[in-house]
Amino acid sequence: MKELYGEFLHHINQYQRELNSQIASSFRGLDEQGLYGSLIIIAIAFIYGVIHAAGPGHGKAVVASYFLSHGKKISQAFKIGYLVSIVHTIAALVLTFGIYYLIEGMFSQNFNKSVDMMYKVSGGLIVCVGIYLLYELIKDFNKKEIIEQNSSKKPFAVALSIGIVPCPGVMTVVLFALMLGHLLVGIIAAIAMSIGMGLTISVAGVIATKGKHIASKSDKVLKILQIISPILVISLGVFLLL
Amino acid sequence: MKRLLLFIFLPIIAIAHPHIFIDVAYDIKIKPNYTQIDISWTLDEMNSQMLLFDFKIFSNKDITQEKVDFIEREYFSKLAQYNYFSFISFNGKTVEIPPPTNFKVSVENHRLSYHFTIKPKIEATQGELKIGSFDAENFLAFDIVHDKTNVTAAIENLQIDTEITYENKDYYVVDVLIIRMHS
Repeated sequence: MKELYGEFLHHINQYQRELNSQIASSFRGLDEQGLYGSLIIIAIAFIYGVIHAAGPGHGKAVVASYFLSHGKKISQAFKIGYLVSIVHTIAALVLTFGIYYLIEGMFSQNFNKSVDMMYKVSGGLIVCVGIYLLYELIKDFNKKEIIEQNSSKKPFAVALSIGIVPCPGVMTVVLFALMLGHLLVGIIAAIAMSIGMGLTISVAGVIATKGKHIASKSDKVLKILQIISPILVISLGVFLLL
Repeated sequence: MKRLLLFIFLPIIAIAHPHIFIDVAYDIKIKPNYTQIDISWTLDEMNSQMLLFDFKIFSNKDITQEKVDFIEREYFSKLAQYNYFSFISFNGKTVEIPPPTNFKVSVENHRLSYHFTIKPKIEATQGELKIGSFDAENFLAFDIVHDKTNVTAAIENLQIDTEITYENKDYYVVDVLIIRMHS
């Protein structure tokens, strides 16, 4: 299992290395290539996003933990995946523009500092979401009946807490585009990349929802899942905070 | 605590995933009392661009000793805590990485390269020398470039054969260069 996972990561890294260099060289040739070049960049950025999010991180574990107890419909998993990617993109764009236009000094150092800081913010928010889920659970238990209610705010809270960490990968692409003077294509590429990541994150939610459907045949298992889910979310948040 | 959590969640969460891709080239000279390893790291184009912009280096002409010293002091030397992402073992025993010397910087095709030398004490007689570069946090992805890697032995009657392969390191596969020595 360990070997397989290692091989899987190795392959993902290799694909990313290739796509990363393709995006870079496409940006360099953009002036000659024009619209065609832009479309190529957007297509590569999308695939890069799908593969990039398949590696560890990007809140897949949080999404999966959440859907283990809250998963109802598959469409919901897609909704949350895309909410995450929207927040992810906005965070990356805001931070990149901030670093580029507002902060004096070294990009490379501000870049790492700002990402580290956002990880802490995200960790804190994830812990809050986890505690909220736990609170809801205890409230439900006291009522002695479990009503499967999905308050509309919850998915937003989950998406915000994990999406707020801007993906350094997206930031690198945007910053690179800015430096070469291709602002618009850079932004569209960032969006394409985030849509790709949203797809992968959604898949994590879909798998968890399927798992929950199978588990919900037994009340006991379902109850255990409902207790584990917020605890998993809280632990993941604590992990980011440490 | 962190270790425990890491152990539980690493397979699903490990926060980092590569955002910096580095091509590694080794030039290795095996000598009687030590092995000289010249290492080159070439960063991917996007990260190179960011650093070159910071360093105000646009071509090799812009590389002054002052800038090299600055990069070594502010960037490169901070990697000491990660053992310069290098690991060496001889006949299965881990070899200590001595402080690097001869730090240099170059630019080619918009890509930034760091060059440095390490001279670990290895009494080469026979056995297996293993050299690799990797980041346990997988934030940087290192890849050994086959046709830029050289191994020579400055010892009489020492036969060597080399192989670039990969090896499992706790949920992560890394490229390693294996040098087998026999007389």
